Amino acid sequence: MKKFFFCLFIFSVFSLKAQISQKTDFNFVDASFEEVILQIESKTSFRFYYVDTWLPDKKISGTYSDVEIQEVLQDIFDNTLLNFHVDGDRIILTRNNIIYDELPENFFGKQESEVVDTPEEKTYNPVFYEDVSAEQKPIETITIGRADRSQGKSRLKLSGVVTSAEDGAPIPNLAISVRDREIGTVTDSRGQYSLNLPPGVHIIETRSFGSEDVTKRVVIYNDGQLNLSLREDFEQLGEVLLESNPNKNVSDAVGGSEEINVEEIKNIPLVLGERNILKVSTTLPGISTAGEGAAGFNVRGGRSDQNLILLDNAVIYNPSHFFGIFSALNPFTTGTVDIYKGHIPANYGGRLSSVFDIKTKDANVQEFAGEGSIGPVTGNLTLEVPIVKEKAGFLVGVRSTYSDWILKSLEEESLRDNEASFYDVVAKYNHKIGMDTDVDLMGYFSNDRFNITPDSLYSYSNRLLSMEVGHRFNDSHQGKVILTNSNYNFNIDYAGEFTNDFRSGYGINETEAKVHMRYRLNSKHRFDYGVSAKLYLVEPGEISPQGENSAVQAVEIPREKGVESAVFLGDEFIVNEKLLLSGGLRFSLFTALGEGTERIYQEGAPRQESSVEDVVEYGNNEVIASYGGPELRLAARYLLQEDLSVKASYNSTYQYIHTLSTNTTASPTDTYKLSDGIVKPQQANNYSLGFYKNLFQNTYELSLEGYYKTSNDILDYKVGAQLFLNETIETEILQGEGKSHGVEFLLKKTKGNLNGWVGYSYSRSFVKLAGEFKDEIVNNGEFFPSNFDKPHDFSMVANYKFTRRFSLSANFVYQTGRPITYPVGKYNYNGAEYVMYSDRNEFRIPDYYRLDLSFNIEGNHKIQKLAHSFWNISVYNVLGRNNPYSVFFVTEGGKIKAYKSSIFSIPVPTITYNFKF
Amino acid sequence: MSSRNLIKLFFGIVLVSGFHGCVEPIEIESQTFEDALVIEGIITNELQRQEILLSRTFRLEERGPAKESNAQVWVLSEGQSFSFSEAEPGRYVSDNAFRAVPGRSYTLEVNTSNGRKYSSEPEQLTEAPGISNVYAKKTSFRNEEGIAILLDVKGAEGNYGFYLYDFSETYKIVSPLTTTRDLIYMDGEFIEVPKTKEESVCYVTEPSQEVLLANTYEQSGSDLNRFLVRFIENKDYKTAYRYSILVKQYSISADAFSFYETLRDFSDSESLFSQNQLGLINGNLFSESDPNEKVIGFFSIADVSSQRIFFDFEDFYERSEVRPASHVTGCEISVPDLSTTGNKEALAQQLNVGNVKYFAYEFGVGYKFVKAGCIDCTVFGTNVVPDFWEK
Repeated sequence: MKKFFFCLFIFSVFSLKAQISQKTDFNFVDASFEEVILQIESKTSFRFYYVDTWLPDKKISGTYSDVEIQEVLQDIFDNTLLNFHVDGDRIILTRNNIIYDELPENFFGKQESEVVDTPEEKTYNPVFYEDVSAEQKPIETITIGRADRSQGKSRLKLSGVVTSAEDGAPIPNLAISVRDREIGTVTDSRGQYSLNLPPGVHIIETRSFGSEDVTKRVVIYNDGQLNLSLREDFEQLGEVLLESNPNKNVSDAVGGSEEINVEEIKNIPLVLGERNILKVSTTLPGISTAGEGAAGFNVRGGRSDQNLILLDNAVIYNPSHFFGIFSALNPFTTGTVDIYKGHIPANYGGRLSSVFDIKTKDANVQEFAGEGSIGPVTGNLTLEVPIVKEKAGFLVGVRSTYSDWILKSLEEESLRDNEASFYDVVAKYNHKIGMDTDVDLMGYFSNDRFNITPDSLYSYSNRLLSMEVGHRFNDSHQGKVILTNSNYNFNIDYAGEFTNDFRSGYGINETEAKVHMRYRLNSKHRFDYGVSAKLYLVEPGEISPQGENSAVQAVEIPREKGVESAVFLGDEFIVNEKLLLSGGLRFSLFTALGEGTERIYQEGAPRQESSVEDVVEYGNNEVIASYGGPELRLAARYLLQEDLSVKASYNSTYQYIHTLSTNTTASPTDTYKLSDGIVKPQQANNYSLGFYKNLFQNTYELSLEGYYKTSNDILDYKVGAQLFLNETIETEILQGEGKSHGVEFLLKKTKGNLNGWVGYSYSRSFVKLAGEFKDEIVNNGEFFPSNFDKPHDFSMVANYKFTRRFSLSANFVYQTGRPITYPVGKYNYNGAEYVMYSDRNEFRIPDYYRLDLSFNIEGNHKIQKLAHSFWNISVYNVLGRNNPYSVFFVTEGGKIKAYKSSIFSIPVPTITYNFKF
Repeated sequence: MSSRNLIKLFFGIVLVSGFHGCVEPIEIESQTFEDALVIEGIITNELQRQEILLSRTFRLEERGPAKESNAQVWVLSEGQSFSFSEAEPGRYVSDNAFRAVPGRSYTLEVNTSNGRKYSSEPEQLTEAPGISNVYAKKTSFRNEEGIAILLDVKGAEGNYGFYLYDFSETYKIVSPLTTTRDLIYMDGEFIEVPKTKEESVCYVTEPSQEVLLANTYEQSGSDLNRFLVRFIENKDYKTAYRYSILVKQYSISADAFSFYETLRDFSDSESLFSQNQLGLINGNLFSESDPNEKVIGFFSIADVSSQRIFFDFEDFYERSEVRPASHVTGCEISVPDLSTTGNKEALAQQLNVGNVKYFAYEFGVGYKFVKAGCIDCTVFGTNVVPDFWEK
């Protein structure tokens, strides 16, 4: 391909003069370049040769009658980066390789110029003419140094700090490039950059994720400084994503972190037409789910309750709808998703394995905007309303199922008998007070209701409230105060036959206050510090009779209360150009508070109902137990080459809240338990080492990471454990050692018509339960595979762009089947047949694989169009693989029967219409 | 029913009725087979020859059970030893009658023929209140009309009760067709002879097949009220004439209770919502030869109490309103071709084996036969009135 273009180019140079006159009439009204080219091709014998992506997103209007083609082209390609060469019937477009300082002076629009931070007084001020016709944004001109060419230096150093205009925070990983020169760099974690430029005029451009793109004309005569202050800008997200943070993979200090680009995932195949942010994360190595319908994630061999999932700083306890098939996060309102699966910065805590930090995007403060989609199951509408121009905006996103019948009629095979409805609402208000203060308020509510049998109604809801006030005290000191409240409730209403009507459920509520400060000491040290306190209120479960005739006895497991507080301090230390250290210390403290009762079990006897010796009552707010300890968060990066780095980290973490679940599924009945006098906090140590390499100008990102993790006091259960509505839950809980390790490989292609990633991980995860007594020993007290030990995990996400409008995506997943406890024989007891089970998790269900395909059709790219739209047609599980979810055995009429359950055993096609205005 | 059990039951219903779309039955295949000894034994406080059952696990696709024969079995109690002998394969009966006494501990010891030694942890008798009342009540359950067998226990104040129940139901059946004569084949000819045994009225006794458990630990009082032992639909043939049920209560230890509870939970339906932590159910038995060897079962000492009740169909229903089904179906009459000796001999064979029964002779048609069970109720039960049967 390259060769072909090269030849064309050479040819065109030599044949430049051999032009043939063809005079024709043209009329363009708001036409795109493609349309212009098509028109010319249809009316003349000229054929164009070019690369699609070169064509600018610009509209052309004009009427030409009886003109030479050269004249038309001259006009059209004026003010673009394209040159044309007419060669007989061929028109060859090339990208302009003439540098800008040699272009005519009136090429750019010119508005203003200023001089910054010069070592000497400015003496040169270039003059530019206004250019009214061009659509170019005005470019500010900055002069660095004095026009003193006698210095004779061929390279001059331009350096500076890039900060956020909102809070003054340095912007790391910002790409700074010089237009049409092979010069570029990336800001470091302190926002600092430095460029070596030849003297003269340069167009400096920035590209980053989440910040506006800035173009400055720099006239440089001497070494000098240029500090930039960038506004946050999510509007630009879609345009820059593939080039965002081109070098982040290599230069970041944090190993094992992932960023999901919300815009990017619109091409990934969908289930039932829903974009699912969290599902995408599972295609990255190290993050997996137990299977379809499993709501939780297992990150690097950790239990699914070991992930801290934050939506605007508030914990979201159940981030999924309908058994985890849909994500509870609205893709249209979500700005960024940062996943920390290896090194967890010190300002996060309370979970062992990972942090999913999800931020709602800021509302547009410029103009009214909206986005929506219509799929087979849900409709989604997001609106952004500026309240105070440039200062305040309101964003609201609503997503809801239409009605149950759609689910029924569409999902004949697997969901036919189900009724399900859900909705979620997210609202955010962002207000900028003065130059230095930002206030963000966010509210979120989600609700799920589903009937599986006519007599039962399941429902659950998340409610989050979050407030964040950020203030910049001065250039180097800034901070934010965060207040959040999260509430999660699960209920079952049962109204059936006989006299067993009941209502049952559980809930958890937590409130957190956090102060997070950032202080830039100098160009080498940046500190993060703060305190946080969190109050947990857990209602572990209750059941109450409904109706007069109900024979159900009311049971209420007493409420649990606890306070988790922490102080943290972190420092990002740039030792030298190559070595970056990120050190953090967090000290967390947990106190279980009354009212409560604690059963004291006989020393030297197994913990069971019959060995209760004493029951201690605690009054309100009396301390039942407290735990705490230091948590170290260390990470280092060393640049071996400019595009090759090695990163290492050590992390220790504590977790004081536990999900009680014998399932691999995050089942709705999985209730919560706080650490108390008997149930100790879970603790983990995580070591990781990785190599990161970017290839071909950051087109490819390659990473290879290994980790080793040990954990203590992780929760598991006795054989036959009953967890829900169990007043003596501590008799069912076992705490043991965990051990996991793995190697993760990820290859990402970030640019070009074909992009996507391939991930593979080999990982193991083991548990050891070796208690003192017989029923506290599992598998002879040796390490055994955990419920989610899936050694091989391969996933591939690929997008191919045929043209600007049509693209095809594929998603393929292969995983080793998860371990199960399988029957190894039968026996007769008490007159009936029973199954004898193997050692825990001795066998595996068959391997899991699945291929999804989707086809995207974008609406045309007319900028003036009322709404931008795209269609998505996808097929989930194209191969129709009947992936078993679980295999289980029941005794029916004294005989054993085996059953297999699966969620989507057939291909599921969907079509979705999305629009944006 | 305790609330916890109720939840479980409820989830079971959810699974079976709701998820059949994606839950399908599959063939059981064993990946590997683990051989283990299964020990079943409840020593009661009734003076009787006590019983211990020994068997082994068998492969998933096989029909079992494999009996463990030629083992030596003892129950030891503070110096005393009660030896057991094998009465039939796998069933070991104490040589002398004895009963468990409160305050003493009992240990089971088993030496199997392969030279391995097994024993139990010491167990004690927990004295408990007996069943105070077993009664039948007409009611509806899961949208079906029928009769519920319920039970009450008046517990001792302040004591928890852990109860295991089993029952044995005996019911009268009446053959839908009756004759007074049998047909025998003699010297190439069929001859009618008068019947010599009762074939019209029989009694069927069946043991319970499920684990029935109740406790007062998870409730406020120490009494057990209206515990559902059994529910019989009104169409069921078991209550078509006269029905009797013997409910036996074993008051067991909390540990034994939890063993049976797990056993029951494992055999219940599972669902997406309630998976149990599967594994080997820990009993109180272990191998002395190899501490890691798996032994299945629980050796219990139980305070036993039982009660039997009787009722007639007419006690609850009007026969004009409710028509119970027959205990036998497919009673079509057939008239075989007996023109050849071969056919005759084939029929004679069927008569001898007891597959078919002679019904009547009709001129111009021939000998009429039906499926044996339609006439002979001894196919299903015994024609001897049980000792306990009350008219």
